[in-house]
Amino acid sequence: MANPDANVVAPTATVPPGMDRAAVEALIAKHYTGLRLLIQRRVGDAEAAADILNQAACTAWEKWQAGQVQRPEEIGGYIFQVAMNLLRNRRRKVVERSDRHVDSEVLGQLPADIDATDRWLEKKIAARVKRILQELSSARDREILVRFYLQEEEKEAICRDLALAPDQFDKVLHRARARLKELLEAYGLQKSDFFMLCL
Amino acid sequence: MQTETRIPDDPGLTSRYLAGQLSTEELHAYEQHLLQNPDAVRELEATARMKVGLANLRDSGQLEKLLRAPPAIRLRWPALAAVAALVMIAIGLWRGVDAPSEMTLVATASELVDRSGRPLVPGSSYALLRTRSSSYDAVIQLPPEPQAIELRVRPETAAPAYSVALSRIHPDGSVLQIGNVSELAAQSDGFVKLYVDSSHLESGPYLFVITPAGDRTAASTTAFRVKVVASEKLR
Repeated sequence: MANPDANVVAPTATVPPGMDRAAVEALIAKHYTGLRLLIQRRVGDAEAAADILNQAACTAWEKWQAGQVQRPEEIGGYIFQVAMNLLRNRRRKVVERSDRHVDSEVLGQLPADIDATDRWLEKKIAARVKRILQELSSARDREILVRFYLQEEEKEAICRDLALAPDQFDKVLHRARARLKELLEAYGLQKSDFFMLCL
Repeated sequence: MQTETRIPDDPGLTSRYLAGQLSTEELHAYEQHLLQNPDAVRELEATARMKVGLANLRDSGQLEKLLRAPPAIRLRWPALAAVAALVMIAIGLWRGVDAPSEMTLVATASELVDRSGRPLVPGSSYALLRTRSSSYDAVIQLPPEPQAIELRVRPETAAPAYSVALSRIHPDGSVLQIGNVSELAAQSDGFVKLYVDSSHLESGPYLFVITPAGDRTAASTTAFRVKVVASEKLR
């Protein structure tokens, strides 16, 4: 059973030489819950999101097999990089199709077609984020997080609207990120979990 | 390269990367950075979760309320032995914190279910008794898998019904309520029984408060100091 508390930390441990593609796919499912759910939301289609992640796993595995991944700890970066490239390409194609033009921003706002397991995972993650928002000492700081991370507004625009200096903005983000990582890593499952996956 | 040197100092870069907002130069530099720094990948995954979590809160209608809500009470945790201060904190918690929507603390074990809707496996039982020592009143060990942990609490004030709240104490001394339940009656042995979903707990100190229904004064409130530790498997 996937546990979002256990899966936050990307692999930084050594990948065993015998690692196969299935292990890379399992790696995504286990360690990249956030990436998977985010892509699913952006695409709005669980199957298409799964295709993107499978392709990312496949490419990362091929690079590993071909010796193009110089250090085993780089494989996590490859998975993210390939998946994000595929997502960008897909969004570009959607925008370019005049016959079925959908605003990619609107697409990202639509509730994704996700199954019960993913709904459960999202709920668990949302509970952690909710706690961060509750802990923030000012309404302004909560607004910063929502406008920047959710609405994806530019930092400059938010600073201008809220009369914030850039370093004030950075401090709010820094504190929130540190707290999120602390909450997500609270169960202490980090590198050892990856070792277990690869055995 | 100039772009690379500023990457670690820009807390917004990961979010902009996930939003597809980086310029070509920034994108190239960031992806190189990503390949060479496993910590950056961890940062990226955490940022992805921040975005997913916020989107989920928006979809469930909780975000608007959170944006309008006053901040949670933040109290200093003076010392574990300061029982008098604990009671004051307990009263403050009752008056200041919204109840969480998740089922964390419940009166009957059958109310706790896993993601497929099945009742949680019964876990260990812990008795909370005021020890009046300088350490914790109880130590709860988290099971490897979610379980319904039974808590048996002995209030110091007799009453027909009680309300109970469980709060996490953060390292900076702030306190955040994670669950509450009311209308609990004591059993014949004087203990009040309730259950907590272990998957909602983290390692660290907690404050457990029981108060007679309708009487939230310092004299009637009993506070317990509880320590939650990770299971053997997780260490």
